[in-house]
Amino acid sequence: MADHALRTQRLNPPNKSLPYLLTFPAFIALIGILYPFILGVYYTFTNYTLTDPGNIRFVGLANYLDIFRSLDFWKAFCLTFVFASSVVIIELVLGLGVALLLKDTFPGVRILQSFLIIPMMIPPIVSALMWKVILLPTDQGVLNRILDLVGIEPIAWLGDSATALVSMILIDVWIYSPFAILIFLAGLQSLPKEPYEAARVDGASGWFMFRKLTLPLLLPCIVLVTLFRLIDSLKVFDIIYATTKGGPAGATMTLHIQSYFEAIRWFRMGRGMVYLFVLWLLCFTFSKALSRLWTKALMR
Amino acid sequence: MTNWKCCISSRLAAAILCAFCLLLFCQCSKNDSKSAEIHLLLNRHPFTESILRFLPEYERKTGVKVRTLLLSEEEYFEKLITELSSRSSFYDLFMLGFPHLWQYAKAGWLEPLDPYVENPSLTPANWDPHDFFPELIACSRWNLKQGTGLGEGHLWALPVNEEAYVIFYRKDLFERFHVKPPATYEEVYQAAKALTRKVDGQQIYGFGHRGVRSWSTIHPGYLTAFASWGARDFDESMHCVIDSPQGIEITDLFIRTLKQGGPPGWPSYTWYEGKEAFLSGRFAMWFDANHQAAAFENPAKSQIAGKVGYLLPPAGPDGQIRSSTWVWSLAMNAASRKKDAAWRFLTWATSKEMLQRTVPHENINPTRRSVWNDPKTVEATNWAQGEYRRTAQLLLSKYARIRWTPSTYVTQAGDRWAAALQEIYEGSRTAEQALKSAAEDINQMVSK
Repeated sequence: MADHALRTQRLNPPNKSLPYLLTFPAFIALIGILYPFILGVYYTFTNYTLTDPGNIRFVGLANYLDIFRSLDFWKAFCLTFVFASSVVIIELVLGLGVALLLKDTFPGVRILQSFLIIPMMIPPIVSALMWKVILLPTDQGVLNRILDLVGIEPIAWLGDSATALVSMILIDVWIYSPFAILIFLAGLQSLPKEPYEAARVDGASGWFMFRKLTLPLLLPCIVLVTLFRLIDSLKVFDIIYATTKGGPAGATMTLHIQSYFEAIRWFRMGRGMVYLFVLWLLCFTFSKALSRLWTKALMR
Repeated sequence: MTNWKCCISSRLAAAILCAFCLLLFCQCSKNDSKSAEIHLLLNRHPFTESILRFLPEYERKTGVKVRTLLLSEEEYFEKLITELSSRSSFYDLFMLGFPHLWQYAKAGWLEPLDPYVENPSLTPANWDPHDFFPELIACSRWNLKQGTGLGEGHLWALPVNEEAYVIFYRKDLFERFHVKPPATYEEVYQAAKALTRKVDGQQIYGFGHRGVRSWSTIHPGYLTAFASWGARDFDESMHCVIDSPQGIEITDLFIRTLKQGGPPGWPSYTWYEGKEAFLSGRFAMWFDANHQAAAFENPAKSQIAGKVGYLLPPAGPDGQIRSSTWVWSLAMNAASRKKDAAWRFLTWATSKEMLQRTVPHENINPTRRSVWNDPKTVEATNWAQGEYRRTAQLLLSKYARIRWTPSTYVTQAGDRWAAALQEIYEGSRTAEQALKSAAEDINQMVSK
């Protein structure tokens, strides 16, 4: 036996560099991710201005203090939260509701399921531009044209601070609800049948089974959808950029849009990076907490 | 055995390395031999779209390959700032307006063009620099001193398109409802209110203007009105003074006009949405760039062709008319490695012949006197029985000037200023409160 092992070793000498070779691509990817990140964090402590790249000075916490003292930052911070929590709640409820309707087989269900993923196949920026046309303020807008038929005056969906954020939420829900539906549909179709049969034998109602069986068993899916959608909606940029650019009067000015204004439009890279770093901290904290919850849900 | 394998693998590695170096060398020498190739970064505009048609002709004539990247305006400026701030030499020529000219010239990203203009070996004898409107050449010069020096210092770019601001109005609606074409801003307000009504079942709004949260909202009609009231953006010491009593008064009147005589959702209007709304007959007045007449008077595109009148901007309280202006120009990257080739292209693209050939493709208004007065241009722009040309000529020669104080802060200050206008429109602040708060923020931006 030992002789055989020795012979094998002689024929295939252990390649000491193999582990390093295998991890090399990951190492390169890590540098590719970490280098811009660390550079970005470094810029938050400098006065880096795009139009004066030769004059980068260390300014300590000045950018942070300045931004944390400004009302605009806290408005953007709250708005980002309101937007993210609203879309996540709506998409969870809508996604689960539609998935429950589609889980049973009935004629045309496959076609319906294929139609549902269309919004996800369109790039978000294109969807946002399409919605911009639908939501035009006068009767040029499709929605206002329809409302006009029932005698409702045109509404400035994107041009009024009372309705602009609601419109953003509507667009996001339209684009991303199919994602929630698909995850929930997959989850529902893989649920074990036995507990339901046992509950039915015991005379449990549909609502009871939903509360006590479906929801707990679907918890990993719920956490998964929340995780993906929350991180994505905290970082929302494309939809707002294509429609309102943070207006009217700052009604849709999220952290990401504010950072775009600071860094790209006003060239203040240092300040722009502070907004992005705060956004990263938020995403990181939530993703850590939710992935821990997801692991727990899977273990149950 | 192992030694033999090792030897083979190291030879193989060496061979691969040599091949790689050889390829790299070939690539580099290929790049060197490509000196007869220039790169243009352009934004979507009638000038660029028309000049692109003639590029094959230029390539055939000179043997120089011209590679272009055409982007819509927002994406264009993002790409441009990324390229220039990284000191990339890839793009040799690009388009810009004066706020960018001031920012990029100050950053050292633009090549001064005077030495090229004065060099007879690079500049064709028939490329006449004195043929450009002197006002537009002045817009392209700056001495890099914040707050002063417009028209002084180096020539940083060559003008290819000019616009000033008029009130386009629907003659048919004004006649039908017996409203007099306005001569003052108060009359604009009254007319806007009177014409916001249902006409043959369709809702018409009296007055339209851009409204998005961007400095480009400030620039056309609003800054024209603001300047007519004697108000300014900055004083001599670069202190923001948009909250002056005159500034507050005209801002209040302007926003009141939009609220009571404009479309709902004014803050969502970009220039092209406003233009489309006027084109489809939804506005009675539209205060924007005069060259949009080309679209309004084109029966293939417009429902209002032949019904449009052109009004000079109304006079301010002192009876003086003042208009803002905008100039699109071509500039050269200071980091370019093919400056001579780039300059030769620039002289070709801004020659009398080429600018004349862009006119039928809606590149209006021309920046050369000879092109503006050419019978073909006269025929192409003789809209509303010559009313268009009369107003455009008066604007260019008498009333239209850059109304921003030359500095590198125009886009930042303008974005904040536009946010203040939206706050007034929303009713969350009065004109005085919003402008005072914006002025404070702008002063803070400038002081940093």
